[in-house]
Amino acid sequence: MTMPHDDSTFGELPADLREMHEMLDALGDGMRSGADAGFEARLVAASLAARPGVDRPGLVHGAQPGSGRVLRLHRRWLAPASLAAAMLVVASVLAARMSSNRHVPADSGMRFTLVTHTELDEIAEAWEVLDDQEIWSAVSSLRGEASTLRNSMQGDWVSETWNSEDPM
Amino acid sequence: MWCNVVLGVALCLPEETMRTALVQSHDGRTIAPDLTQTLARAATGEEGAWRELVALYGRRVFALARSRVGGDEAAEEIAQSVFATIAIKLREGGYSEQGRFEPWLFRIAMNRIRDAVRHAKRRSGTVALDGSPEPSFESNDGPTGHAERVALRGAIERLSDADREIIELRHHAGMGFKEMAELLDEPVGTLLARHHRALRKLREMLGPVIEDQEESEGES
Repeated sequence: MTMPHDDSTFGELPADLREMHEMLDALGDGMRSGADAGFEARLVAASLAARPGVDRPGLVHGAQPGSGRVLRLHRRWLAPASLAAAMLVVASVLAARMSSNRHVPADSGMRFTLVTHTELDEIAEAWEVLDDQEIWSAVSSLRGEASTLRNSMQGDWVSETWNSEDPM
Repeated sequence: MWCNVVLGVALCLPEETMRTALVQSHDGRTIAPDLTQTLARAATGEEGAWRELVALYGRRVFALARSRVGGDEAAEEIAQSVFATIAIKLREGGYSEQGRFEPWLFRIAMNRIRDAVRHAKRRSGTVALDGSPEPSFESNDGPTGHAERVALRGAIERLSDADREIIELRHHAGMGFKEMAELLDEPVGTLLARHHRALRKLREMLGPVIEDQEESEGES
């Protein structure tokens, strides 16, 4: 039996209390070995990730297959994660609108491009917060495409061509 | 080379020797230089240093928390919170090593445990989390059987707060009496007497269980 403390008074105890001491040591050994194999790694990760102002960090979880634990995000990731989720929802709505409006007449198409342009501005504003150049260039490219589409739809040839297409 | 003047004689030692020698804090405490260095490295965010600290204290904090709160996950959450607090304090220079690291760490742990128990009481309206399921430690069953362990845990919970604290700090957290004296601000002699008294009470409470066990062992 290994105890972390090294000032054992075990030898000075009467026999009946020694037995109790041994039982308590065994219980303590069991308690200490109760944490699973990834415990130390998670504790190190929590220590390294600790930031001032967050004195109650969320539980850090390593990949422990079958541990049955619930994943909890570290608080500092919650804001960006929420923003990303919100952007995903907006993008999904946008994609759904684009696909549903593909075969509508030109006047509806005009309204669609205007809406799209506004929404793209909103998304761009949200993405600016993340300050990611790659995302920003993608937004610019999308905005350019939307603008081209809107301009081209203002021309007569587009409305005629579009109106003559057989809706699927 | 490290040099100092001792009783008027210049004493020079290689730095390597000084690194492995024990050092004394201002109040005469002996500090293991390894821990001092480990804490200094940990303060800079060195992963290896944190691995060492976690290996030394992680499971001991976990066991102390596990003895009071319900479930391994809650105990681990407390352990992580304790280590995160220590990491922040070390980084901010909020702790200077004077041989009191262990009492400091367990003081933070005890505060976290008290908070968790208080929070659980508020939420459930029941008395703490002491009715938590028996932790599974089949991998380290030792000489003590399951029935004895359950009875022992029940008996510990029936001790007075002061006696229970001594038993848990000593046997679950594995603290030395000197460190406990520092933590609880009590003389070592008082703690030794309290520990002895708590053992005696547990022996009285568990008398029938131990006798039954001895009888069944004798029959087999």
